[in-house]
Amino acid sequence: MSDAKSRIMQNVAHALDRKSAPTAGEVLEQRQRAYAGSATPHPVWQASAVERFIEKFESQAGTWTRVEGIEAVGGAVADHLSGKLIDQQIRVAPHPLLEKVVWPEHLDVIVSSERAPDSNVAVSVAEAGMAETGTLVFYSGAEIPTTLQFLPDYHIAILRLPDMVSYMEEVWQKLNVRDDFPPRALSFITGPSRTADVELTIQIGAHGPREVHLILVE
Amino acid sequence: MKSTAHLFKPQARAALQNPQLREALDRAKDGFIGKRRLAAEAFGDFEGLREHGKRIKDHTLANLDAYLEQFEARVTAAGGQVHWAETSEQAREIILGICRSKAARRVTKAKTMVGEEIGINEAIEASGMEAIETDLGEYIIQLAEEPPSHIIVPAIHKTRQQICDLFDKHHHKGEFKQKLREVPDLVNEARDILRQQFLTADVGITGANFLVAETGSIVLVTNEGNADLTHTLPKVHISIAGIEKVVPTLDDTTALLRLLARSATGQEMSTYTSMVTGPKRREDPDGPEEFHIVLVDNGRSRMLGNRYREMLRCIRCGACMNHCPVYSAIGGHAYGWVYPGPMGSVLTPMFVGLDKTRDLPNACTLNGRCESVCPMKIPLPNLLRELRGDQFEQNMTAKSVRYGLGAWSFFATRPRLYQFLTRLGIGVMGRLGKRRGRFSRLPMASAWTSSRDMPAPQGQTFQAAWKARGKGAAK
Repeated sequence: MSDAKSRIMQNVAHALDRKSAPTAGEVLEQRQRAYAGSATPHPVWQASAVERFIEKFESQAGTWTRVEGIEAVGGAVADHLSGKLIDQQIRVAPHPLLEKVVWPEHLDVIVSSERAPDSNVAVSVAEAGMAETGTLVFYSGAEIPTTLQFLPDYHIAILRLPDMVSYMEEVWQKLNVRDDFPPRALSFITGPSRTADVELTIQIGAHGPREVHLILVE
Repeated sequence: MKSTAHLFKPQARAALQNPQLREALDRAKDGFIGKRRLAAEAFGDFEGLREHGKRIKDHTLANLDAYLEQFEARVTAAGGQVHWAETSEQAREIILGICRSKAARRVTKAKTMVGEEIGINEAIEASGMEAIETDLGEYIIQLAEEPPSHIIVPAIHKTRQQICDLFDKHHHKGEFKQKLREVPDLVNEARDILRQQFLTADVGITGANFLVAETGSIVLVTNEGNADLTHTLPKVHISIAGIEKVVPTLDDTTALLRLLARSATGQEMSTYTSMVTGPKRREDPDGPEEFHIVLVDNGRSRMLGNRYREMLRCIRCGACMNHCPVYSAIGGHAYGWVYPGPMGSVLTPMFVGLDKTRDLPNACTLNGRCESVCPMKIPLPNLLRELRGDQFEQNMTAKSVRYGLGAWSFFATRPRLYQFLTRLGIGVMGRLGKRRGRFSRLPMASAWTSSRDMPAPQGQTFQAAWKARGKGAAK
């Protein structure tokens, strides 16, 4: 134990009026008694989880479309990009879900996990959608590089409908069964990057993507 | 950062006479209050959520040693390194040591209040490295060489014209000379410049909104995405956090996240909430090779043991200052240190010393709005009152106040004399002011009458009126 640590811990124990920290079991029991017995209050709504998600996602400047199956994702990406000035390769996450996608020939697509600062479009996969706030959840790893969600101007996210949940608590339940949970970075993203630092005027496109487009796969 | 809190009064006076600051503060006041209220109402049981959040933090603080040990064990298991700093100086040394061992030249930073507290930017610059703030607001005040004036919106005191001038000076060597530019133009310009810094930085420094003991994770909340670029792109990620930031579990973090964004900006969720656990894994295509977390005490363990423990529940949302009439009138700089507004008036004396911050606990009307909106239900007015008590006990209160209080207590402990004198005084004032109903000048009360009239009493003391009313009701 470093000197600084032992002194801080001594001071903390002194402040709490005891010699040593309680056992994990004692702490757990205390926590249970203090509040863990009651559920965390959360927002409630009438509509379905998908409807709630869309309402919240749109309110945070997210755009979206819905496709029947994973094969249709290529066409949906092309549709979304038509009319936009895209002069670089489209980076696609090396995610197994995207292996079946048929990419239209006119799109210059590269499937790569490498960092791609020179790409202004990235396609990635969200592990969960959180209806509570219209938030997409990304799980970093070989299949989903973190940079894909933050460096490009246009971020296109794919979400399978069964991965939609209502609350953040369900996101934890869904993901913490994985062997490698928690990943290095678990990112909850709600719409495009924004800032209000100049005269409190909300401006989209601060440091991250200027657009987040969701393709919802049934 | 060096404190100028002992100069509160002249700083507040100067702030009141600064028209640009007034313009900026008026704008802020209108936005935050309404947005927070709407978000709280839309939530439903926001009161229940506040109570739940308070219990989480109270329980955590009562077991802080156990949770810090758990957090450290989990971070280490995830391949990260935990450092402990008793003081600002120790924290700076640890961080500089890591930067030097990597021969770092450029350090990008995402907004961290504890970073401001320990003065990390100055230390980095002084050792010949470059420290670049990447939150747009922090970047603006870094160019202006000023401290933040708000914990959520650090450049809230700057007008667009001032920002244009700063960008012109620093980005265009003063030759751009375009008049007032639009917001998107300014944001894009900063984005382009800072993007290059992100891509070439050797070390990234962030704070941490929460430390999760269960998983050894830090949680970072931003709207710009700058914290994510800061922790993902450089070879080394250093996070700085106060020891009180620890939270037991992910579910507890969820509760506090639901409180944080709504209280801070009225958002239901900030654009980016990231949970970071350790450095890059073997199979990861990106992320830093090293992850360090510096846990800073700097007086917090002392607060844990005294009557200001409740202040350690603070999650740094800024709602108290957004709702404070004093902050709204003078802005953040007048408070003289890192943390302004009501939370700052409690924290600054803790960190800087009560003798050097005498005016702060008194720069409050005790109206109670801060406590009513605090997501962690911190009794801020009570804590400020306690600080005033401490000042009195330690003989720091001004002589005029001490004599005044002494005189008042003499009469207050002699009820008959008190009643007689008040009846006399009120009666005389009531007769004198009967015609106009108010006084525009009063002897010994010029502090009141120089800015507003004093209403004339109706001729009867409260006690007399109460007695008369009681008789009337008895009939």
